[in-house]
Amino acid sequence: MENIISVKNLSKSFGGVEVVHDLEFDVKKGEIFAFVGPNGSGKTTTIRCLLKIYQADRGDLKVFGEEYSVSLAPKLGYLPEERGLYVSANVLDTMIYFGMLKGMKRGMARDAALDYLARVGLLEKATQKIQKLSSGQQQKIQLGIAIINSPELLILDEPTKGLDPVNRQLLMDILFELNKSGSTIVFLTHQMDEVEKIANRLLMINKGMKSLYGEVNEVRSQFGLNTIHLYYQGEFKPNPDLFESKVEGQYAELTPRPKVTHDEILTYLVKLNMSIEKYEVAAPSLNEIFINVVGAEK
Amino acid sequence: MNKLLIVTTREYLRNVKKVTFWIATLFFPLFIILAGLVSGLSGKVVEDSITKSANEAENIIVSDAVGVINKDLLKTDVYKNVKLIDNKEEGVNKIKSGEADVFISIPQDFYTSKNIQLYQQSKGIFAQGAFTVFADSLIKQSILQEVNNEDKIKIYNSTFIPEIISYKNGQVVDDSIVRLVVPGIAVIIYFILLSFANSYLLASVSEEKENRMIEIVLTSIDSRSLIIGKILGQVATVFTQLLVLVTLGGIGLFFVKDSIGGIGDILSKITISPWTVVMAVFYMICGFMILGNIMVGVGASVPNYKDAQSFSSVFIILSILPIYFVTIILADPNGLVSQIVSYFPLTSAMILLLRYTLGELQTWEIIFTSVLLIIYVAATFGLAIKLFEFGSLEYSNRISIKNFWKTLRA
Repeated sequence: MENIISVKNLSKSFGGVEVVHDLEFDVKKGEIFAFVGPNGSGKTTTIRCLLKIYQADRGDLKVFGEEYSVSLAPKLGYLPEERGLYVSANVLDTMIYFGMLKGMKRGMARDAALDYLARVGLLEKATQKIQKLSSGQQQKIQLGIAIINSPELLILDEPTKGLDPVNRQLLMDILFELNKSGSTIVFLTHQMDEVEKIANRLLMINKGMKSLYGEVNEVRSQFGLNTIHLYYQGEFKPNPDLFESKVEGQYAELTPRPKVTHDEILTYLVKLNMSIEKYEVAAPSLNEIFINVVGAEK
Repeated sequence: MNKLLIVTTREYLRNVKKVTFWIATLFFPLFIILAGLVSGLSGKVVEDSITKSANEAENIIVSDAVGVINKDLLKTDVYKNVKLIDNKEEGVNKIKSGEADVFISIPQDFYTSKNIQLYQQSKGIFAQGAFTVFADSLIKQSILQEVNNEDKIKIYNSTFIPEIISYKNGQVVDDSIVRLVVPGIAVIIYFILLSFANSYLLASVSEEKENRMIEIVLTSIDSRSLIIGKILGQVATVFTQLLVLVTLGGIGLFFVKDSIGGIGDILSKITISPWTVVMAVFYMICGFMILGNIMVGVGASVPNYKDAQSFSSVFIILSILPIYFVTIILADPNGLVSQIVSYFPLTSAMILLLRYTLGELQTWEIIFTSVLLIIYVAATFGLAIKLFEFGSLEYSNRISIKNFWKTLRA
């Protein structure tokens, strides 16, 4: 499959500190690609280098087969991590302005902006000043600016940051729609549940270096079928001698200690004062993998 | 549409759509007109009040201890209400009792002290001087009567119109006030361009950074085009302001040229050559660009507009500094001060504009300074682009000179 993004041997330093080291990855046409890593791992710097906002110290970075330049803007949608809006401008004018900067004719940009505003329920705000919008509404406008040109490549840096669950779902739906219509989507996050939901492939970096890379299922299976997913009612008592546990409400994710078998754990659980609703041995969640990988590399 | 034009249009429309823009544009001429009207009106009210007080005075009495008042003069229409009395005490009493409107006392030592005393019925603060001119005129006209020569009296009472012919290095030069009209107008336009456009530009650059829009913008348009577009947008805005001001000024002049003596004459004597216009526009653009580029750099170097305003004030003060010693420059356009400020980047355009429109620049100086100005513009523009590229992503921080220097070298 054709590569939309190709990064080879990327390195970037700030003030003598190397933030990205010899990074290499590709993003294929039509996929949803998750770029994950803890805060400060170098994700944003990598994207900024790719889009020539920063100059890379070293590396071969290609977008659509060439070094990024503003001539590629019509094909790109970008929602940066540090994002805002011209708060004193009105919503529609702002969206049209960015549409035109991406090569659209005024009329086309206006139609696309109005369609989008209708889609996200903000049509009646079209002529209002942005500063009068709530922060959630402003985030929708930011996304609208990124996708107004129906980009072939959409790069989103922490797209769900600060969104409530309803708007998060709306964003996911929009991303799916765009992907269905042929857009390649790259999103930077450290929300692993989002990655599991929508991504085809992922790249995990830590301290500027590649930790994991590949299809989501492949990455999970690399960590083996060793995690017990337990849904229960009653009182759960951890047993550090047998397993490490992570509890969320009436759900627990148990990782057996070395040489401890699943049967031993099940026997222990049965003896507890609780009813087991579901007991499943499966690959670890991405969240668990993330914590393990990042924790191990600290 | 070309991206440069898109940015220029946005910047322009953003400014002219603001109510504050029109308030700022119209405030200045309206303020001048209003101040003129109020001042003229109140002046007329005071003048009317004084004239009325003087005209209504039927009983003017004078005690003349030295005999300076000419008695024949008191028979004329102007001074017919004046009556001579013998002593000061009588005059003061008549004022106190309200029998006289004003009493002019010319004392014994008048020729040495040159003092007179005026006793009058109070008509308020502004009418206090109503009889000063009258008393002055009464005494001077009395003295003139002694000359007994009608032509000499006429000449004494007339205003002389001198014709001034000035020479410099053996050549006749024009030192009339008319000579200052074109430089004056040029400097005013330059000043408006400098202060308004640069403040818009500073706000515009700071806005990109403060609103965290710069990353999205820079993936769609290169920084060079963005900055040029912003500059052109602000220049277009200021030219709109100038157009409004010139139109209002033209309308105002049309109405007052006949009523205010001298303006019509001065206007008819002004001739502006096409070269003067070309060079004036060149100097204005260069001066604006130099400060504008600095404003871009300042806007990109600090986190927000408020900080940018404080930081930029240093450069703005430096660039308008020549205004504070403009009299020295006008007195000697080729003197040491003029020469120094002609070559200092922040002041050179304004001084060269002034000196050129005064006709004080030699051909070699025009060529040399024009090249120099272009170099200043190019250098500050290059620096502004670098600062913008480096500083615009330093969202919450002032840029570090050390890091910037490293980037420049890289």
